[in-house]
Amino acid sequence: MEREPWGQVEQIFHAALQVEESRRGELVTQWCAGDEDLRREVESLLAHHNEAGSFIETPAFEREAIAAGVRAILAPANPGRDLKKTLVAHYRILDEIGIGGMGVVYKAEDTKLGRSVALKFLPDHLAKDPAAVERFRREARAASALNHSSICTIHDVGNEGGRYYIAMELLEGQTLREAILRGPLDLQRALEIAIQIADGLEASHQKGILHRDIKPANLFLTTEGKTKILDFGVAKMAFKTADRASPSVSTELTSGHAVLGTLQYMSPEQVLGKPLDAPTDLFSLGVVLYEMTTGQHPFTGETSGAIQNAILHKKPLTAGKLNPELPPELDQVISKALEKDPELRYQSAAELRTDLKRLHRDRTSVDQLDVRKHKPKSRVYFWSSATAVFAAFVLLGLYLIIRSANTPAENVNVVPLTSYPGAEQFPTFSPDGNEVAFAWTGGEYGLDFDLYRKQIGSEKAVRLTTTHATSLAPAWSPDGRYIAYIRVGTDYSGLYLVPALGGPERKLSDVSNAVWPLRFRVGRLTVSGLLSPAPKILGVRLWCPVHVSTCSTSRHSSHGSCLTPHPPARLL
Amino acid sequence: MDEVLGHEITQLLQAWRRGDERALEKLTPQVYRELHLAAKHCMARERQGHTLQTTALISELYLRLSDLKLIDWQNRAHFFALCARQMRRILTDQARARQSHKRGGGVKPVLFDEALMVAPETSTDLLAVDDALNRLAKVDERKSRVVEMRFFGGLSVEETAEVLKVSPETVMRDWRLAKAWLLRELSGEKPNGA
Repeated sequence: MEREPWGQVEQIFHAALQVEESRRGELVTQWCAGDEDLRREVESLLAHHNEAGSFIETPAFEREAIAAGVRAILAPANPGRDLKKTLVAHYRILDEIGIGGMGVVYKAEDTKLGRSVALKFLPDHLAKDPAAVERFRREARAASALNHSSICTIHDVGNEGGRYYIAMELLEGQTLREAILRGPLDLQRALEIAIQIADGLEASHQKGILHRDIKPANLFLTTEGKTKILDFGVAKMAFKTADRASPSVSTELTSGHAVLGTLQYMSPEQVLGKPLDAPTDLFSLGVVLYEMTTGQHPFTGETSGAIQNAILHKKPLTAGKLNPELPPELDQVISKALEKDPELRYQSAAELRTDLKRLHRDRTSVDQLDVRKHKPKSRVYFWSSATAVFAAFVLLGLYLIIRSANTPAENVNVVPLTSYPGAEQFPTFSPDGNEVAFAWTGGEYGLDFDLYRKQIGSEKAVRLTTTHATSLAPAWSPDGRYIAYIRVGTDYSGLYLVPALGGPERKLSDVSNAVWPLRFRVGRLTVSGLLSPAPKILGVRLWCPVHVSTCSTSRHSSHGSCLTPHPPARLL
Repeated sequence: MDEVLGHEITQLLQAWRRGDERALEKLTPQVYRELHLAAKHCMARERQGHTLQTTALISELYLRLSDLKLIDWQNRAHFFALCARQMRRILTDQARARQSHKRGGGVKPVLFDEALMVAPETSTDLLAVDDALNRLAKVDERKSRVVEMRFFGGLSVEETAEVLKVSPETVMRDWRLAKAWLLRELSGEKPNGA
């Protein structure tokens, strides 16, 4: 069989992909000009193109690694099934409870002492790998050298019939990773967790043991409210070489020519494979603290290379910018923990713990003073605060008018909020006045405005919308958590709501002819906006984000126009 | 990693880029050895959901192997391309070893089949892809290299474009056609009905 001239096949194949699927057959026939073989070849490739989907899209190594991971998980599962209700040494295996970094974990009963323990086995295929066995033993040795309430206790290590196991404290609860899947934690809770981790790290560092893989999956929150550090699997002993023998051996065993630890929590020195000291764990704890309080990673990227680059060179957006409720002192603690240069970082876990504890104490007193703030809002309270905010804006407005009428006061600087190329529109202050949301074309020519959010005084803006439509007229919810906006575009028109920290947007209404200003009405979570004259209805409509429907309508004789600073919680 | 080796590898990379094929011959076994070790250790540690990306593995290797002062983007892209080829060898060797082990019987192969059920995407037979890719190389060398770099090396479209000195759009077009072509080869259908 002689294949058709490849160049021609290629040309027609790509041309066909440019046209709508329904017209392909007809056009391909036309382009092939009676050459049946050519047509069949192109049609056959097009058919397979349609089926190709994710075929070979995942790199081979990653696929193999996933398969290897699944194998590693399944490998000990068989012996586990065999072992169920049977004895391994003096442990009676009861149930499989999870999968740790180095193997499957079972719930078991210690028949000697009559207590429940967690029993972790080294997977069979790793049991043949001396380096893995050494690491497994190392975890046991490292962790059993530690007796601390924030570190999972190791009871026993053994080898029964060639199977290596560690018996350890049985914990009930969930990992921090599971806990933060639902979003950022309450600040006080996050601080309590971080303090306990710092406490545990202080104890392990004092014994000369680095954890090297501090991350949410290795931190366990017990149902009693305790935090426990798990998995000293990549721990490195004797990082302080003073009185320890052969530190080089320990380096070799733990680095093992492979990337150990989880990339996003690695310190710069870890990424570069440099010698590690206590500050590496404190960096990782800094990343965890950032993630707990903001719900986001400080170092992100689409590829691992980009993440590495961010860890090595980029200063993350401060936590306060992502979550304006966070106190600036937290940013200071996080920045110090995330210093690229280990020498500029916290030098000891105790030092970090002290700062965290101070922050925790200060917040406790702030919370007591602010207790009114957290009470359910009464109407009176709402009105008084709304009035106060309104008065503040009036004063600010008056001040600006007076200032513009006179020579500018010496101590007032006019600061551009943005200095991006292209058009920016609809600047809208967040309720706390620290941030501004605005529409921007991204420097492109045209009308594809997307919404951005930026901290005042910072250069970086966070993009909130990404569709090929025009997003306009942002309005903050009074708690600063959401931004409502209007989107105009053939398929997407409507009123939308997007979390201010970024995330999937929600369509509130199909009505897209609303014009600004959009406003939130507190208490009932209602967005209101003026309708444009287009449908010949001039007035105010209220949309209820909760029910995604129009709640009520009220006529209004005026027509909303250009944006003016407005009291964020003003009722229409 | 000792600095002497790092410096040597960087120099070999530069020589290779200048067109010195002997540099490539010297470089290949060293890279193969290092990559193999890294891949093996990485896989031993793998577990579901924590897959370390190919590019991260290679980046790490590159950082370790090269003299940091001399790193530049083109060196990196070429190193990645070299790694892609070595990765292809490593993975197909492994798959072959597994296959012969399977014929020998034992416990592991059963587990591998279970793994296939858990991760359906892995059912694409690596060896079959490798064979088909060799056939594609005869029809269109560049497309086979695009697949090698992207599928075996985990390179991005832009990185692949950099190595091949073509535009990213061309890489995407090559990728699309190559995917369709390879899938047809694997499905065993003969075009043209001939």
